[in-house]
Amino acid sequence: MAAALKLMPIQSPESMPYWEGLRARKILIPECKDCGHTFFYPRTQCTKCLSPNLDWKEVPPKAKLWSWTVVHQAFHEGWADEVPFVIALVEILPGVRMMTNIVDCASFDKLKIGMDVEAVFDDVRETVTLLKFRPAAG
Amino acid sequence: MGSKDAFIVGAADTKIGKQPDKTAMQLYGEATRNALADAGLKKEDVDLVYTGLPHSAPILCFPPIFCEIMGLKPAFCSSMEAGGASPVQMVLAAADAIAAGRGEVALCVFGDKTATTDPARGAYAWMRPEEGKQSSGGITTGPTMEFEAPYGSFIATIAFAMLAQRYMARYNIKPEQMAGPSLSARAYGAMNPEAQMHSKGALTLEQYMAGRLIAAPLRVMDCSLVSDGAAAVIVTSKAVAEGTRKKPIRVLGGGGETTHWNVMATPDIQDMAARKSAERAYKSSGLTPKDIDLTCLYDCFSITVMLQLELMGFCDEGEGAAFASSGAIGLGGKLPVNPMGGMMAHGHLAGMSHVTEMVKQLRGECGVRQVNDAKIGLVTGNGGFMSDHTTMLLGRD
Repeated sequence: MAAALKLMPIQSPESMPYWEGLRARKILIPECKDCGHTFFYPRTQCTKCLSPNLDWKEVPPKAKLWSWTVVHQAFHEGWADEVPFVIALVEILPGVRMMTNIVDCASFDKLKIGMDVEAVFDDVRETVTLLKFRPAAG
Repeated sequence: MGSKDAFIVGAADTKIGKQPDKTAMQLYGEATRNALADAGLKKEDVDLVYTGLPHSAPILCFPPIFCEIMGLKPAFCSSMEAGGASPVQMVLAAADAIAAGRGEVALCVFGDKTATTDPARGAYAWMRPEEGKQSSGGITTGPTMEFEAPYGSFIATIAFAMLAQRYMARYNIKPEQMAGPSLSARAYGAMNPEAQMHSKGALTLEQYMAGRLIAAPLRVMDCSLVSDGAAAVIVTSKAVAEGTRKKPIRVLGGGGETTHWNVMATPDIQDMAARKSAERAYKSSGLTPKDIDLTCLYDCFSITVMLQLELMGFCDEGEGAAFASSGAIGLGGKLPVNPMGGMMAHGHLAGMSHVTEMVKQLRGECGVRQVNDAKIGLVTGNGGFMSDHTTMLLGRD
């Protein structure tokens, strides 16, 4: 049997600028033109004021670790060869969180809530780049 | 007339555990027959039907199909699809409909067959796509499949592990201090012959700590079981309740709160839905945490119990782990939690057996695990990842 595939993002039309941004090594998140609210994941109206007048804001390639888990049991064959690995929630802006993996982590014991992490653009397919993070240098 | 004039007069469960020879639909039917027999009512008396949606067989328009199979002809039938909040939501919806005069006898039934369903079938078939093909996401499409699943996060264990991690870091709680809910569940399970873990007996702290890590910091004993089974209750008006077989249990009030669904949208641990859900339930019933004799708290993971104990006002912030380890939630403790053994020892029916257990406790039918003089009980349902929460208060007159 061929190796099972990992689950790839099932991309939605409203998110395409985010995915295209990652391929160009940019992190773009929605920002409301009317109230200035930023949020993640992309929607077609602001989660604060419901305005449909949205723009894309480029944010720096860094975040803070909000929480994480070291996964020991693979829940899907696609990850069977990866355990143990780290799934995390990071804050890309205060209050704006995204799911990710922490990679290039020499020791899980070094992970701390609030620590700085930096972006890793992982080209998992020719047309799909996933935003992952690693502990910040220094 | 308000929802306080609605009463639960029937409560029953099927066997819980592996039942490979039965479908979810059969289990729903069995729970329904048992609950009607418990109430002493006929199927022709039922004019409101609320069901869940079994994940092992998620068919469209499940409620009317279920009614057709059972020969039920209610005025209204509907399913609740808010995850583990659904069982409590359906009882509250039934109580409100009866109070409003839209019906007299409501059947609320929920169950599933998650222990023996082939993973290539049911709601999670998308996890096993055709060889070489990408998953379609099935009925789990949307933000989960776009922004969470690609990182390996598509199961509640990941979410609760991250909440436990944040909880332990914030309050400086050590791994062995997280054992309380698991140990309590297994102690109760040892008293309940119906519990899936009954034959395994109680759990020691050493056994808990020796359990393998699933998603750190969660160990195997922190996680709920998977189960085949169903449970049902019959809710009715005061007039009908007066003629039934058992002591009617009054619906005293309820409340809820939905903050999000996906893990990435979670509020911080002290702002979770259980807080407002409890506040609303206390307000609607005029009761406070001090009035409550016992609880059936949704307990998909040990951390779920600790967070609810804090958020719902049973102990102070950061004290949930210590409270759960102190004996307070055990039999004879200040606040017994899940005397049937809960999801970590009895089984996982998405919270429906939490409702039936509370009814049986308030009637005084529970034998060696009976909470003494149980008059007022609190039951919770929790969907997703502390995402949508519902609280209900029940009482014996």
